Amino acid sequence: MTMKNNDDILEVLEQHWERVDEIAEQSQVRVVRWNLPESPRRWVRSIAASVVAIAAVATLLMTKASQPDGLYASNLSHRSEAIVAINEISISIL
Amino acid sequence: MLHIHRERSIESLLKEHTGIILKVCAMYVPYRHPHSEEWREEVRDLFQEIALNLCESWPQFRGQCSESTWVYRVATNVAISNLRRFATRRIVLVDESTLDRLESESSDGLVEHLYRRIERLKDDERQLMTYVIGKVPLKEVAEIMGLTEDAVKHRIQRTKEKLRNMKDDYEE
Repeated sequence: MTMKNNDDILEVLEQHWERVDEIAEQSQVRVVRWNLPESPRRWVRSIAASVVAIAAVATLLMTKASQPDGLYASNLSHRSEAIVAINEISISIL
Repeated sequence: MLHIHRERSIESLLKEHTGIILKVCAMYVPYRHPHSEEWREEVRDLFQEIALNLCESWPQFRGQCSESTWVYRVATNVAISNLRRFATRRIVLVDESTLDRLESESSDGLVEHLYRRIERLKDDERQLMTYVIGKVPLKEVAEIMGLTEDAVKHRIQRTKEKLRNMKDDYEE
C-alpha cells in the first residue's frame, strides 16, 4: 500500500467513517435484560445459576414496572451489576 | 456548561452515538479474516461494553466537553482496556445486518490495510488517531490526553508519518 502524503491516510479513514455513520443511522440497537449465553460452557453455567437468575430477573422486572417511563440510563448500573453478580455466582457454583 | 438532558432513555443515548461506538469498534477490533466469526464476536463484546460504560457513566457527565467528545473518551478508554476481561453478560445487542455492513466496509481494500497498520500503533497513538479522524476539537483532545495543543499537533504529524511509512506484513 502506498500513500502519497500523510493527509491521504486521514482522507481515506474520514471517508470510511462517513460510511460507518450511514450504517449507524440504519442500525438497530436493542437493550435486553437477559439473554442466554451462546457457548455451551456459558450455557452450563447459566443453568447452574438458573434459580438465582429467575429470582433476579423477577426483581428486575418488578423494578422496571415501578418506573414511570421505561428504562433510563441512570438506572442501568445496578441492573448490569446484578447480572454480573449472577454470572459470578454461577461461576463460583461451578 | 452545556445543558444535559438527564432523564434520557438508554435507547436514545445509544442511538445517537451508535456511529461513534461502531467507529471505535472498527478502530480497535481490526478486521482479520474474511467472514471472521471471531471478529464479529469481539465487535459484539466491545460494542456492548462501550454501551454499558456509557450508560453507567452518564450520570457523572457534567458537560465539561461536548457529548460526542465524552462518548469518544469513554469508548476509547473501554477499548484500550483488555477485551478478554469483558464479562459474559449480553444485554445490549446490535443487529446482525449492521455487523455485516461494518465488516464489509472495514474489509474494503485500502481501509483494511490502514486498520492493519493502526493495529500496530501504540495505545496512545491509536487513541489519538481515533480522536483526529472523529474530528474531536484539538483543545479537547489536548485536555483528554493531558498534553498541550502544540504537543498534540506534533504527535498527530508523527503518528500519520509513522502510519504512512509502516510496511505491511506481507512486505516484510
